[in-house]
Amino acid sequence: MKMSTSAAMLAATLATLAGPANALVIATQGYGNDVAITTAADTLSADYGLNRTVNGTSRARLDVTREAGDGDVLDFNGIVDNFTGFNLGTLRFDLVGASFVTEGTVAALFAPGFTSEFAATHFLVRFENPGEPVGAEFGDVGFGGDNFAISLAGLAVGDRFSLWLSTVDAVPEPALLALFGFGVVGVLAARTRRRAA
Amino acid sequence: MTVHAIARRGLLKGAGAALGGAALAGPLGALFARNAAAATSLGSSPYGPVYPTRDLATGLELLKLPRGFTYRSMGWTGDLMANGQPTPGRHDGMGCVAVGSGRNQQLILIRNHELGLDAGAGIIDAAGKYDTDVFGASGLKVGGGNTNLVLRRGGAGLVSTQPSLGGTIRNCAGGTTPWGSWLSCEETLEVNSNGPVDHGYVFEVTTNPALTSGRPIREMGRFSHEAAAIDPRTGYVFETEDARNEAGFYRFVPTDTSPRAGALAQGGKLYAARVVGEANASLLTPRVGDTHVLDWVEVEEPASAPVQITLDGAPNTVSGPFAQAWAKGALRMSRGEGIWYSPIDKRMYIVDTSAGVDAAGRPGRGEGAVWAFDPATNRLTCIFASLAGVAANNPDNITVSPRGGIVLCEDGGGVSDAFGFGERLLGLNADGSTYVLAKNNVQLTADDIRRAGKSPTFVREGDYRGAEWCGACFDPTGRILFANVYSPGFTVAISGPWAAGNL
Repeated sequence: MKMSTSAAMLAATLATLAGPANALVIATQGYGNDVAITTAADTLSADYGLNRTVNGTSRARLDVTREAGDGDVLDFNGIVDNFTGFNLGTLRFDLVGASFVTEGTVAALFAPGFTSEFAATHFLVRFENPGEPVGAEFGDVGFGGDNFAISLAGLAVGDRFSLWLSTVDAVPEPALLALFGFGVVGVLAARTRRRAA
Repeated sequence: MTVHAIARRGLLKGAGAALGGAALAGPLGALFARNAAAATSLGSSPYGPVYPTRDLATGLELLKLPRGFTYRSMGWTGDLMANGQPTPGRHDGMGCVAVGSGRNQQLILIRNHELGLDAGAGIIDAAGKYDTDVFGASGLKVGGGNTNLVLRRGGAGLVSTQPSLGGTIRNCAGGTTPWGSWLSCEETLEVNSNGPVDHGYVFEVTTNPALTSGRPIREMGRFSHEAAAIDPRTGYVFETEDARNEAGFYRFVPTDTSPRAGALAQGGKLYAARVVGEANASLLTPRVGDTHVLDWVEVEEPASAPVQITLDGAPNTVSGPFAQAWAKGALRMSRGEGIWYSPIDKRMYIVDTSAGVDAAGRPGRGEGAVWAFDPATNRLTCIFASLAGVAANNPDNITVSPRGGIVLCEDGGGVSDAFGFGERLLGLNADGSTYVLAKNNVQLTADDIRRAGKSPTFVREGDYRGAEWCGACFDPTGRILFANVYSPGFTVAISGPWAAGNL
C-alpha cells in the first residue's frame, strides 16, 4: 500500500511509512493524541495514547492506501491507552472506504465490563459504569485473542480508506446532575426568553 | 516488518486542565507558604465520598472508593508463587518499576513482607537469601523478604509472583531506586544466635530476582530501618529509622554514585542529620510550618551493635548509629516511617507516624506528621500535623503521584468517620487538610474466602478493616495506584478519574 497525502493532511501530524512490498503506508492524524503504528504483511497494528480531550471526546485517524501485492483482508489489532485522566464511556472505530468483516477480541483493563456493537462500517464498545480509566485492547496484541479483519476487496491499488477512532468520556454522576441542572436552567431560560419575546 | 512510532508521552494528563498547572509548582506548594494549624478534621475530597466497591477480581467489596474508581486485588497471602511456595503474608512497602517498552512492557511490583519468626511461614525461597539458618532455639526460620509481582502491560493482569529475597526479618518498607530496583529495609535489631547473623540492614532487590544477591549493604547502617529514598541528582540515599523517640534521620553517601544495581553495595559513608544551632533537637511534637536547617554528622561505625545510652533521664538501648549520632548532637524524630522523593519539586516527603502527643501529653505518641525535606538546601519543614485520628490516624507509608499529589497510608488501627470504620488511604489537599481516597472494608466470611478462591489455611475469616494500608505507589504513567492491605495480605491496583483531583 502507499500513502495518499491530501492537502488537508499537510497541516496535521503526519507520519509516513514506506516499506517493502506488502507493507502498509499510513498517514496518521492524532488531534493531540499519540499514535504508534506497526505494520507487517497484511496486518495493521495501531496503538493510541489518548492525551487530549475536546468537549469530552478524543479522536485519531489513520489513512491507508492499498498497494500492489496486498491481500483482500487486512488484520487489525490495537491498544487504546487512556492518559486523559477521565474514564472512557464509549470507544468507537469507524471505517470509511472499507468494511469490517470479522469482530475481534476486546479486553477492558479496569472497567467492570462492556457491551459491543459490530457492523461493517463501525465497531463500538460501551464500558459499564463507571467507565474505563486505563484503556482497552483490541484483537491479539500479544496476549492471545482474535484480530479484527478489514475487507479491502472493493479497493483497487491506490484506493484509500480511513480508520477513525473516537472516544467519549464517561459522565460522572455529579457532572450528569450538573448537566441536568444546566439543562433545566437552559429550558427555564428559553421559556423566559420566549415569554419576554 | 517496518515500525514507525510517534513519540508516546505516556503520562496521565489532566493536571493542567484540572488544576491550572498548580501541581507543577509542587504538590503542596501552597502549604509551604501558609501558616495553618494542625489538622483536627477531614477536608473535602476532590473525588467525592467513598462507597463500598466490588473488587473486579474476587467480586468482594474489599474497599470503599469514590464513584468512578475501580480496582483489582492480586497476590493474596497463600496464592501459589511461580516456585510453588505459597505467597507469604504481611504485605508491606512496595515499589513499581516498568520493564521493557511498548506491548512487551511489564510492571514489576517489588513487595515487602514484614515477617519475622512466624510459624508456618518459612524462608522465602528466592535466589538471593541472607540468613538461612534456624533462628536461635525457636526452631522457626526467618520469614521476611520480598516477592515480585509481574504484571503485563496495562497493569490489569498478574503474570506471576516470584520470590525475590529471603532470609530477612521484618522487611517493613524501602524505596525505589532511579535505576529500577528496590531497597528493602529490615525493621529490626535482632541477631540470629545460630551464626550469629545480625539483622537490621538494607538489601537491594532487582526486578529480575536472579540478580538479587541477598547480601546486606552494611554501610547503609544497622538500625530499625523503615524506608529509603534517593536524590537522583546526587545519588545520596536518605533513610528513616522506626524506633520510638530514638529515631535518627540518615544520609548515605555512596562511594559509587553510578545509577546501577550493585553500586550501593560498593559502600560509602553514613551520616545523621543535626539541626543547625540546636544540639540533640527533639522533633517529636512538630507544628505545621516548623522549619529546621540541617547539617550532617558522620556515623563512623554504621553496622555497630545496639548500645545503652541515657535518654530523657533514663537508660535506653538504641541502635549503634543513633548512639553515635546522638553523641554528636544529631536530631531525633518520633518514629521515622515512609519517605518518598518527588521529581516534581525535588523534595523528600517524610512521615513521622507518631509525632505529637497522646491524651496523657506524652510526646512521640501522637497521630503523626509529614515533613518536606529539600536535599538541595537541607531545609526540613513540617507541612502536616494531625491532632485527631479522624484527620490522620498514624500515617505510615507515603507516596507522591507522578502529577505531584501525596497519598498517606494509615497504620493506627482504624478510624470511624462519616464513611464508617476502617483504615484509610488519605490524600492531602493544598489547604493542608486530608481527604479519604480509599477505605479498608475487608470483612471476610468463610464463604467469601471460598468464592474468592483463596486458601482458608492462609486467609482466615474475620474483620480486617483496622488493618494498615502500606506500599502505596503509582505506576510510572500515574494511571494506577497500587497499595497493600497488610492483613490478610493482598495487593490492589486502583484506577479512576485521577484528573478530577490532585493525584
